[in-house]
Amino acid sequence: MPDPASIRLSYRDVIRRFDRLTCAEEFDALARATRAYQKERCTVYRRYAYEYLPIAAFKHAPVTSFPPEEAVAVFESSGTGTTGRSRHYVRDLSLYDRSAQTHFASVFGRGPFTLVAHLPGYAPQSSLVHMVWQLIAAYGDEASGFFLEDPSLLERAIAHSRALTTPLILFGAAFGLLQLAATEQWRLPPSAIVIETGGMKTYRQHVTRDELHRRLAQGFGVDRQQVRSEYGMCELLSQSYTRGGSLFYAPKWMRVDAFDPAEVEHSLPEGVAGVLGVIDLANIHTVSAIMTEDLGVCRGGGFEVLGRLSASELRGCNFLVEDV
Amino acid sequence: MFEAVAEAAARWRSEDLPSRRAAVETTLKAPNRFTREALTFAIEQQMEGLSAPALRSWIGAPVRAARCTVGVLSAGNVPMVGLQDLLAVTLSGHRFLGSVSRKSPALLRAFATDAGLDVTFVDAHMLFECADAVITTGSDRTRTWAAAMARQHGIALGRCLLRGHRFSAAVVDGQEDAHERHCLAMDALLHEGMGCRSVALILAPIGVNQGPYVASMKRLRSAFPAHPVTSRALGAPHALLEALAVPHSGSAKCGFLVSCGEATAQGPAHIRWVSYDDWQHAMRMLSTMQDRLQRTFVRRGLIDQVPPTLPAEPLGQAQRPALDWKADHTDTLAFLRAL
Repeated sequence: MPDPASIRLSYRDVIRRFDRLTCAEEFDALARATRAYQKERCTVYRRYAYEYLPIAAFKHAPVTSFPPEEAVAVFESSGTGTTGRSRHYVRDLSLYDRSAQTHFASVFGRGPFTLVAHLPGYAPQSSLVHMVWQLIAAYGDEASGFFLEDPSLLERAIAHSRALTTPLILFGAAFGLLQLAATEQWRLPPSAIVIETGGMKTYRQHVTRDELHRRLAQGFGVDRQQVRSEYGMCELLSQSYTRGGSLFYAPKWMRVDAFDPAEVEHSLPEGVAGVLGVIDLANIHTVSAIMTEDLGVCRGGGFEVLGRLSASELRGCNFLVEDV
Repeated sequence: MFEAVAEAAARWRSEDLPSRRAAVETTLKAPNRFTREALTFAIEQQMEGLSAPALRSWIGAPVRAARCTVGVLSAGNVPMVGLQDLLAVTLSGHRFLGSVSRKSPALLRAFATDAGLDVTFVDAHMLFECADAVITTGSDRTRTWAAAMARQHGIALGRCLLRGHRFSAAVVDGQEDAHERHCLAMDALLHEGMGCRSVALILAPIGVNQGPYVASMKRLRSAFPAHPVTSRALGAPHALLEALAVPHSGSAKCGFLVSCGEATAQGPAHIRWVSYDDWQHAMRMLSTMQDRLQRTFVRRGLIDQVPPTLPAEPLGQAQRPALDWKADHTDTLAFLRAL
């Protein structure tokens, strides 16, 4: 077998093979090809002298490796506070669908599931709404769907899941699920899985993930192991999921590392908290290496998200708990 | 006790004091961004205000009845940060149980020892086990963590003073003289712009020449050079400004950046220059970020034009907090008296 490092790969190879990786060397080779392609094609990335492009770039300019007017969709972030919205120009939605579906199936199986979603406040054109629709289309049964104003859909889905013994998956924004759980005591089927997609920061509520999961498990009548988290963002086409603990696991085509916030080119060893940097090969048409604004720590093949780490927080005492 | 603190403060004004010198050397070796110049400034500034009459006037009558053990989790981002809490707790009659950041492990302890204060320092987790009330300062995550720890240890929310992360802004009108511009540079760049009182945003009328303000910052950096970590850390944001073609001044080599754009606080030593149409526009902008805004700094002649909802101080005061200043607009002494 030829040394993967010696093979000259193109962006077409990345598109063809990103979700069929077999080893870390193959990831490295595709990541090199991706970086070379994007440094050549993406003006913002070419001008940027470092590898991981800060996520804030998506708020200020089209970050694309193709003419932005050729985008078939533009995903927008929720744009909290005084900052603008991120815009992710998508050239090929099938890459997003492939990435989302393949990883979802590898974590939860191929279904069919009774897959219901509760994403209040999310615009129809948000990447999360698109992703959940795609998952419903791929793995959901006829009782699947979104419910916003009509909780009876959830009741019908529960009844359907119980009757047909189809596993139920409840997908939802953290605050939406908390509100839902507060309205009544739900009893989901024993095999049900609740997946929270984050979003607490919008509501400025001080709830740890541990506490959130405890409340969701109690509110929906499921074991805590069955409450999962999804880590995704509008700037990335891939997602990570927890598997019953606090660690997120990325798909094989996505690499997550922690970096020193003060010197972002220095990656940190396992167990040391830093700002999370992601390489998402599915982002081939934009920029794959993104420096997030999330504080996290890598360990055991996964990563834990500890909270937000905006530039302004670096002025304060953001590492207080980790440092004392 | 007031006299003991004042006497220790007087001794600490000498750089040759062995305990001060040892604490400074330990601090300089800690993983922080303190420079010797900034450390000297911070100690001098803090000690200058600690006279017995000033302390007495600030503290008032000590607590007679419910003496509590107050756990104080101090930040380590600015030299001597946490001194106000230490003095407020001990001089008001409560027991001080502190936890200091590894970024600044020595200064508070050394000063408390020299002043003969009966204080104990423990690990942050221990703090919640032993305290009846807590004061913490930190990011949203720290706050969430502290709230959870307090709940876990049965400390009622009313006995917790949990401060969040904030920043400050300055509003200029283009009429600032050279001294006021120097003061603004101090407010923005001393201590690398760390801490909630440091100026992260400068609001200026559209068309005002940025040049003299940037020149003042350059001059300040010759007296207070940037910490090497700050200079290195500015490399990435500078590269991003270049990549996005955002108008900016300064560089990693200069030890600061001033970038034009929306009113969003940037990282340490990176100042955001925000244009406003008229004074009302500037005040409206600040009002929208009130929950994150610690202080507003303006030249003395403009203080009266800032609404009372945006606590304002004169330029040059960011790194010279008064003994009785209220972080997060909350009176620490009132909190302590209510325990």
